[in-house]
Order: sequence, then C-alpha cells, then structure tokens
Amino acid sequence: MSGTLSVQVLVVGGGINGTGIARDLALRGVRTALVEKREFGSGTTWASSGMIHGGLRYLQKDPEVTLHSCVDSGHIQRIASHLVFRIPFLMPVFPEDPIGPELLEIGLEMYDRYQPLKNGRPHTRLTREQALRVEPALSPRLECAFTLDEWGVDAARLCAVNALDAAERGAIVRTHHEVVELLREGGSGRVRGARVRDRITGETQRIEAELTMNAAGPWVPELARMADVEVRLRPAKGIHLVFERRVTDVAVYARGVDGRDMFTFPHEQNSMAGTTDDDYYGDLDRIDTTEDEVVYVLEAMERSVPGIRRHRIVHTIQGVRPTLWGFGRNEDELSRDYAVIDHGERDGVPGLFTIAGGKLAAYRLMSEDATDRLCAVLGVREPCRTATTPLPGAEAPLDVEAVSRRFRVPVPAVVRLAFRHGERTRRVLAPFDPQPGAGAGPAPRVVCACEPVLDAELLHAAREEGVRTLEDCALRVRLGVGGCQGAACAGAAAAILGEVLGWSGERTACEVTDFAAERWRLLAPALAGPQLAAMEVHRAVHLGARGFAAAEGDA
Amino acid sequence: MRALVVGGGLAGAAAALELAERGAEVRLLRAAPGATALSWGTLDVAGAAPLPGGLPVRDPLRGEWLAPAARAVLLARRPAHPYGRLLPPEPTESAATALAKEATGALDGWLAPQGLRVMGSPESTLWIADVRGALRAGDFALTGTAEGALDDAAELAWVEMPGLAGWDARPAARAFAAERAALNLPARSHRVVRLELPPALLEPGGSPARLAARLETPDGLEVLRRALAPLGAEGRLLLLPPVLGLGGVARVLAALRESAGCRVGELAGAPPHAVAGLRLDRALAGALAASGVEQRGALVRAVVEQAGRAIGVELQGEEGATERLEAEAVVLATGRFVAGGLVERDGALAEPLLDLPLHDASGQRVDGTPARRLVVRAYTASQPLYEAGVRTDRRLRPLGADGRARLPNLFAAGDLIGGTDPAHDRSGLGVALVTGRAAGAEAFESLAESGARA
Repeated sequence: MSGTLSVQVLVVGGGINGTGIARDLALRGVRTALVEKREFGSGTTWASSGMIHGGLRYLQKDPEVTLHSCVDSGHIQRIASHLVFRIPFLMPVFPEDPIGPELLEIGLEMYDRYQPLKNGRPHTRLTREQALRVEPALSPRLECAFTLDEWGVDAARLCAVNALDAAERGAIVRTHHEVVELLREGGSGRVRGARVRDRITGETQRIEAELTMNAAGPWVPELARMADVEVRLRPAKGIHLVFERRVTDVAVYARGVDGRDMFTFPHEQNSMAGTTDDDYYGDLDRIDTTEDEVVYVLEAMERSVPGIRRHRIVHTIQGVRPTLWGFGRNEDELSRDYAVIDHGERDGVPGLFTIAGGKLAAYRLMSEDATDRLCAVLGVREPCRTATTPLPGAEAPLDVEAVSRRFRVPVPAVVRLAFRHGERTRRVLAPFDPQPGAGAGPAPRVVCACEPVLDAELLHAAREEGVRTLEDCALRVRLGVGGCQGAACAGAAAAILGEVLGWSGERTACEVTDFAAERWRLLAPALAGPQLAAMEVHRAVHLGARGFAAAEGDA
Repeated sequence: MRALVVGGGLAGAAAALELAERGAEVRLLRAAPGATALSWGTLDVAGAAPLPGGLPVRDPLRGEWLAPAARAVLLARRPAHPYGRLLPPEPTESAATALAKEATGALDGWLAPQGLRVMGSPESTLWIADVRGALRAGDFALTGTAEGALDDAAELAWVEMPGLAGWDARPAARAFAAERAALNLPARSHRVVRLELPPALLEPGGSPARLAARLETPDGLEVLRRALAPLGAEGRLLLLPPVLGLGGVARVLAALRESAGCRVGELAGAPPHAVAGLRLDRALAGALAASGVEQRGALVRAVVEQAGRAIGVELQGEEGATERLEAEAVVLATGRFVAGGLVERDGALAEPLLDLPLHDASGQRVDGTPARRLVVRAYTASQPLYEAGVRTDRRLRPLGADGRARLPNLFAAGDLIGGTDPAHDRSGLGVALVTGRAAGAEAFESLAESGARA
C-alpha cells in the first residue's frame, strides 16, 4: 500500500543524532517523521561504550569537545536520570609507562575543572595497596593509581526513549524503514522528502517534507549521494568485547600495544572491554569483528587485569563511527567534533541537511544545534527545551519496594525495570495489576533469566513501543544478552511477541532462527573457554527444529 | 578382568552395560550429568532430513524427506563419521536399519525394567512437537515423549499450566496450527485446555523438573489425576510439557490415561524443559546398578599408561590428593564441551586426559587451534569446532599422532569421537548409543585378549 505523508521535517536515521533531533523538533511543535532502517540505535550508537563522559582523551587536542561533552553530560543526567549510572574509573600506573604519575596528575587536575559540569568528583591518587583493595582484579605490578569519575548509559535505550518521546509528542516514527529515493523537485533539485520502504512488509510510502535531515551516521555519504552531493567521512570501526558477568567492579584503564587507551568497565550486568579504532571501508550493513581485534583488546586489557581471559565472552559489538574526514597520523588523532551541513548553502541542493561526527556524550547539544538550523529555515521560533524536559520515565523517582509488592515482582527485577523505564515501570506492569474483586491473574514471569527480562517488558515493547522483530528486543529489552544467548529464551519470547503482533508459525520460527543466527555471528570471532559448552547447548536447542533443518549435503 | 568406563552419559552407560552383560567386572566413573541429561526425550540415530537439492532451508517440510535409515547411510559415507566405522565399507540401508534396530533394542532391554521404553523405527519418521509448537522429525523417542508423537488423533488439546516457567500453551498451539496451514496439511482440530494445580505442587514460575518430581508422588499424582480428568474427551490427545514424573513416567501416564479417558503425551522440551533428559539419565543409572556396574562420582585427571598399555586412571581426590584405579581396559566416553571431554586450554583446543589428536569432519587436525578459528559464520552450517573429536580405528580405539591406535586397550565412545556435528547432523544420541555398545564389545575383546596373554 503506498500512501503519502506530509511533514515539515523528515529525519533519516534512528541513532542518537536522529532520535535526539526528532525529539527536539517534536518538542518545538514541528511536524516530524523519523525513519530508521533497522532498530533504534542499532548502528553506531549501540556499538559505543555507552559513556556520557567528557573524554579525558580529547582534552589535549580538542578541549572544545571535552567542554561540550561535560556540559551536555550534566544535562543528560537530569533528563535521563533513570538511565545513567556512575562509573568510577581506576587508572593504574605501571613502571614501564611512558607518562609517570606526576605528569598524569597535571592532566587530571585540568580535567577536574570540568568535573563539576557533569557531577563528577575530582580525581584522587591511590597507593598500590589502596588500589588493589578497591579493585582486587588489578595487576599487582602497578605503582599507584588514579581515580576519576564518569557516567554510563544504555545507549540503545537512550535512542529508543528519545524516539518514543518524539512519538508521544506527535512525531511519526518508523523502524525497519529505509529510504529508497529522495524526492527531488524538477529544476531546482530541492529535496522534498523521501520514498521509504518497509523492510518487513515491502510496502513503500512517500514522505513529503519541507526539510530532510540526513542523520544516517556512517550511511550519511550513501544517503547524500541520492541527492548527488558528497559528504566525506573517515569511517572508523570500533569493537567491544562483552563479558557474561562483571570482570571488575570499577572501570579500569589499559594501554594497547600501540599506546592507545582502552578500558574495561561494568555495564548493566555485563562488563565490556574496548575499543578499537580502525579505518573501515567494508560493508556497513554487515560489520564483523575479526580475530585480530579480539586479541588486540584482550592483550591490552591483560596488562591491567591479568585474569581477564578467564572470563566468559558472550558476544562482541561492533560499529563504525561517522568521523569527519581529515588527515591524521592515525585514526585516534581525528577530531571527535561534529558538523551540521546545509546542502542548499554548500552544494546548491536546498531542503537537505546532514549531521555527522560527534560524540554520544554531547548528543543533546548537537541535536539542539541541528534543530536550531532547521527551525531557522522553517521560521519556527520555539526555543529548545531538551535540556530541561525529562525523557519518558525520568519525570519522578520510582518506589521500587511498593511496585514490587503491588505487582508481585521480585525487587531485583523491579530495580532492573526502574533502570530502563524509570517511573514508567508502573505502565509496563499495569496489565498485571491485580484488580480488587477480579481475582489475581498471573504475575509477570521471567522469560530470560540471564538478566531477569519479564514477559511484561516484552509485551510492553510489542504493544506500546512498536518493537517489530525478535532481534529488536536484543537492544530494546536486552533479551538474550547473557550466557544463554537466546538458547533458553528466544522461543518463549518469540511466542509472546508473535501473539501480540499476529505472527504466523512460519514467521515465529524465522524470528527465532534469525535471532539465534545473529547471536552466533556476534560471538563467533570471540568464542572461547566455557562459552563453548553454552553454545553447544544453544545449537542443540535451535538446530533440528523446523526452520533450521539443514538439507543433507549442505555441510 | 576389570574395565573402567569414564563418563556416565548414554555412551558410557551403553559401554558399561555391554561389558557387564558379557561378564566383565566394570566400574563407571562420572563427574556430573552431561549432554545426555540435557536431551529432550527423542533419540535420533539419524534424524530425518530433507532431500538434498533446492529445498529452502527454512521450509523443509514441503519437500521430500529422507528416511532415517537412508540418512544413516549418507552419514556413514562421510569420511570421518563414526557410523562409517560401524557399518560395512559399502553401507546399505538394510545394514543401517539392522544397526539401529539392534542398538535401540538393546537400550530398550536395559531401560524397560527402569520404566522407560524406546519407541520408533529407522524406517519411518516420528513427528513430535516441542514446547514452542515447532515440529521435530526424528526416528526414536522415549516413554512420555513417544506418547506425544503426532498421528491421527481426532483432536489435539494443548494443556495450559498457569505458573509453569517457560510454558505457554496458546502461542505453541497457534504456532503449530499455522505451521500445518503453511504445509497445506488439513487443519487439525485442536484447542487449549487449562489445568490448574495448587501452589503446593506448582508455585508461580515453578521449574519443570521440580514439578515432575512432585507429580510422581502418590499425593501429587492424585491431585493431577483429578485435575486432568475433566479435560479428557473421546479421541483427544492431551499434550503436556514434559513434567509427568522422573522415574515413574509410565505409571503416571497410565494413571492419567485412565482418569482422562483418552491419550496423554508429552511435548519435546529443550532446556530448561529437559526433564526427559533427566529421566534418561536416571534410568541409565538404574540399569547400571541392576547390571552390577559399580558407579562412582569422580573426576578423572589422567589415563595412566605403562609399557604401552593403559593400566588405569588417576582421580582427583580431596585437597589435591590423587587416587589411582587400575584397569585392564579403559573406555573414554567423556563427551565434548558440555561434559569436558574436550576443552580449550591456554587458548587451544585439547583433549585433557591424554592430549589425543583431534580432527574435524574433513580430517583436519584441530587440536592446538583456538576455538574461534574453527567456526563458520553461518549458524546453520556444520561447524568444524563442534565436529572436533578424536579419530578411532575400526575397533574404536582413539588414534595417536602417528595415525595408529594410541593404546591397544583404550577405546572411545560417544561425543568424544569427532567427525560429526551432533546438532547439525541430529545423530548425537544415536552415535552415543551405537559407539557406546561397540566400544563396550571391543573393550571386552581386549580384556579377553589380555586374559589369554596372562
């Protein structure tokens, strides 16, 4: 079915920039449509370390980036208070390190000046013994250590929450929709929106827009080419390793064999380690981690955390940064600055804007800047309110114990929901509210035990949040992110989603197939140790059921 | 004449039972339940597969299917598949059928006194629905699961059990119905019925294994009988998740059939619904005890060799102490990664007891290789990592680096033998059973030889 929609602004790309801009536009009353070709945050944002930090690393070359990040980090902590968590960092100093503790401390003192902007505490210097007491997993070879303070966030969830808020404020929001062509005006070449295709149903639709914002991240050049303009990026691939449980209690710095800074840090129930930074010219729709990258990260981390190889890697994440083009001796030296391009001004193609580059920690500020530019063209005078308007869930704190009692959900599962949904946890659990007189219905049940994912959260995602595939749930509700990698939960979760979304048996089977295969793809390059047995069970569970039966001879 | 079997899954148990039956003194050592305890009530010698050529992988049921015996022949023709060493060099369907019938017949003989029967045939395909409503094609199944096999019952009734973790009857029934529609099979009359059990039997979020244990107590069974009675109807097949007892499944089924007045069966269930696997594990332990096999919980650290023969094994004792057990023949049935028969040690694949060479299905040496180098990106493909295992001669003796039997009186059985990816080939328990029996027979021969020599 092809219909036509008409809006003021079409935003292409559901990463942090696109969702941030869509929300800002919606808050200013601009009629907006947002299209994302997969799931919110499934491109670059998901693959980031999820840090709302200032970037100590950029202080030397890009103090502006550090300043912006720190200021905006403070804002994000207020508008997404339920979604952010403090990450204390330890920076161990080893005898062979080229920069000694004194010089390091000068840098940290400079960074201390930015800390109040993001509610961070000033650094402290720990003796070897103090550091080992704080983090026993540290290598005892250290001389001393410094602490510093950063903030983390579930980055994919942050995208979803921005998009959902935009939708609540009237924006049209579509996932699994890709742009097949940009609508051009004959003569002037003005961009007038796009024709988009639903990648699940195959249906196409025209979305007419006065302005089109290209926020496609690493796909920015591809979309720009559809309007015959060039945007040059220097795409840089980064990977993280994700561990089943926490490797360390606090984040720990490590140095790569090439001198690059890396870290391992607790992230929700997992720990992550990374990242890498390498020029990437491969297929953006299928980015695979390589063995080199896995070994590179482990070798770097091993110097700070010698036992890291004993921990179980459950998957890898990988993405490509849409870094602005530039020459640099290496990828790390490139600026993390961003740019908003008006293609009418720059290329004589009015109606099209691009945003590229930047950092997660300053997403709100970048979105504000981009939205200001769009509003100036549209003649909209409404001021930006994203720095003060709470995102859905952050409106008020949640009484975890009261919710636990009322909805018959154990406290740890409520704490987890509160982290993801904030005050809206009550809405997530509402269908399970025991009604007086009507008798208690079933209590919410745990579908994935790795991290207690409740059927209530899956139902909410399908009914209220517009989730469309089982794979979407890996990001949206963190389904199958632990040791089981979907062996225990994929089937049950698909059945629950299928019931709401009206999937056929065929479709349900395919969703499980795709989910299992994607977990394998993300894990395979880092498959090792105890996870070998877990995946042996995973394959026994999934292979051989309908949907997976392999024809004889395809071995 | 003492033989030692290392590993207590189906392969180890079959080897030990075979040895005991022939009159050997057998001791079986097991560290913990392994892959057998995670199985789901089906036992595929060579699970049916779509014919090669052109079938979309996701839609196997629309095409022609290969009967299990024919498939076993195909598996046996592969260069390294264990069936190739147990069937004649030019394998035929009748030879494969005979092998499967003989092996499952023997297993049935061992398990029947424990209340578990083996049903099915290598000449036909058994269709069994699992707890998600997906269809599985296999050749053999055990009591409970076998009764749930789909035939021409007039009506299927999916039994909803509010509170049971991971079981949702409605989506499963719907998925199953949609699957039949997709296959152009006549719509099957089916419905979902609700079985309420008191919290003392099934608490919210209750585990399938715990419920199974409660349901076979006299009180539990009585409650279940009464609750299920009104759900029966003429010509109906009541389908429950696998929870109908651990040791006493046959007794529970008989009681339920009688009270409901119709057929009752179980769905196949992968972990955490692997109650059928626990059942098989327990029944094997019972059969071993009945045959006089001494069973002991112990972790074997090494196989001890002397003058080119295995003379026993070393156990991990308490506080680092070691204990040595002597034997004249040793069968290794230590499994793969789940059971620890293969491990990744210092970033390289290894067989931990004797550092035996490991091979994938193409014959490539893979020990010493990191696991991540043995994976194929396509999930559904046969994975070299999970094909990895020891190679054996025709007497099932693992080969050493020189391509000859590593030790004349050491045998291998089950998943430890490589050359097949059990999940991909769907012949895991079948390989365990036939190689277990064969290794037991060979180990007995070896005992006889050493007896003659002495």
